[in-house]
Amino acid sequence: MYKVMAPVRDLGYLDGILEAGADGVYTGLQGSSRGRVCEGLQEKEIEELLIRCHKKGKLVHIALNAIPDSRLTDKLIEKISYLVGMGVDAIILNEVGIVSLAVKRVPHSSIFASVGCGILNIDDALFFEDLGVRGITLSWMVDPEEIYEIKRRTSLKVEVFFYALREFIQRGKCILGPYLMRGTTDLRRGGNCINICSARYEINSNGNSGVCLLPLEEYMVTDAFKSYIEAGVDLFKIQGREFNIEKIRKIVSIFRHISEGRGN
Amino acid sequence: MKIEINTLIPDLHFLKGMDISAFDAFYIGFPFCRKFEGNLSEIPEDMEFSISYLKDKGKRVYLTTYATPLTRDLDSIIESVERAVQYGIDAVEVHNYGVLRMINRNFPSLRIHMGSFANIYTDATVIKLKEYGVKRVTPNYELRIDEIEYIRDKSGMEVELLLHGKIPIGISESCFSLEIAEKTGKLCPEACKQAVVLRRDGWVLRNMGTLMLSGKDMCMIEHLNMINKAGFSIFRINGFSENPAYIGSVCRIYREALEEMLSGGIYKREWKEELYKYSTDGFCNGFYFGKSGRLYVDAMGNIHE
Repeated sequence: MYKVMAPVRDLGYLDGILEAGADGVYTGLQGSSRGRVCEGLQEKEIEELLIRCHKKGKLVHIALNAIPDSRLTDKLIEKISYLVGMGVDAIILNEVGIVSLAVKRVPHSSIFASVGCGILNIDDALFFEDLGVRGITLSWMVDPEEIYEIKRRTSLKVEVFFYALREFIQRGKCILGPYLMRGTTDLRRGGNCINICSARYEINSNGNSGVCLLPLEEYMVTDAFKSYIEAGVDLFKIQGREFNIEKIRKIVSIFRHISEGRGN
Repeated sequence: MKIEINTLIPDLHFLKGMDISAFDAFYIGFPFCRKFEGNLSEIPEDMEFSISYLKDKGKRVYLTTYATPLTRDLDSIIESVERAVQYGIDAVEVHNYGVLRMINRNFPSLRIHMGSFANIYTDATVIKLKEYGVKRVTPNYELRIDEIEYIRDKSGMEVELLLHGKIPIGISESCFSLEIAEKTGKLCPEACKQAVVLRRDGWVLRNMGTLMLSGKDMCMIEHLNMINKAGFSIFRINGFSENPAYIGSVCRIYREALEEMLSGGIYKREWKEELYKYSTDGFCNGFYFGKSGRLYVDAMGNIHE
């Protein structure tokens, strides 16, 4: 049976998110996850999150999706080991080498490959299954028919986005932020996506000029929801650790509404 | 130390317009969009001609493959690699792990180079990739030069560095050239042949359809001494978004500079001055020095916007 995973950036949000109908939550470990250094939860907070969620039968996934310098990978593996020991249901990682080390050194871990790993096709999925991951998060570019093939040929848990901001540049294929403003926008090194791609740009092409905004759209699975279920999707993710509690609750409620067949 | 300078040739028009003499090797094809007009990895007769032409001139030829394939793209990628193998390709460049897995299974003796969009950030990844027949990697362009050096030394893998030209910084899902077709009047496949310049608050970017590039040219001419001392020997010069006549001249300058400095010569200011003539929006040197990619760090360590 499929589940909906909602973001939680603050323990104060937790009850509200679960009351709205989330089956599980995900968050980042402060300092090892995307977003500003102060964002994400600390180890003590994750411990409390686990106790409160597991008491209600809810899942907890923790993202450690900032990719460290090669010389710091051992420290990241130690953190993964600690979180797995606490009972986290899945660890979300973002790079082949880190995944490979985590699977080898933390044997009881359940590793999910983040959307940043750029998994787009059946052989990508098989590659990450060979590495030892238990789940993968797919981009909205992968349609239900292709997801069906992945579910048919692998034993992976498949997570897709129920709600996300759909940027112009593909997930896992963008270094525009650090090209323009290193330090704050190093997405894969722990920075924050500030959707710099969607700013207003003057354009010039062969003498034609004008002003444009690169596309940035809200994405929500509505009409195609049934197709995703039939394809075998296990988890629906609500993107938005930056959103406030009201917005997250609203999206979870919409998910419940659609999943219970009450229309869009 | 034997060096290799290579570049990407997307189509026959580019190949015919450029001076190939200073280059050692070529990646053929356009990995960012399968519909790119004349894409050498998609058109069998053009692929055959270009491989044969370049090999006759004593050059090494590598096929590049589509960077963001969905399942429905995989069969034709394998067919394309199969053709290239028959035509005598020396290696294949791969940006996608599914494609890597397929090529390793179907062509176990084929030399594989992992490209910059494979998101290689750690030595652990490179060590893992050896199991899949990978012989060369281009780490993600976001890495500092000291990280790249560490990865190379720890893994023992051949590493390719971007030395000059526009930096690929993103692949989009939809085509920007088509988004602005109303303004340009150009549709697929000709729309992306004309690079679009995007500007904002002193920032400049280039776009070629689904590919976002740096607006400034990456330039490492002032830092060749450091590059040589670190033992790097495989270099890429990008020019596929420019007039093809530009790239041969750029390569000649780098070859002269690399060879002269390797034999104990000193840096000549005219190299940079000459390169500057080919640049429309100035220089940067990407992420090698840990700064924003659009900035330029000179040999004295001064940072220039």
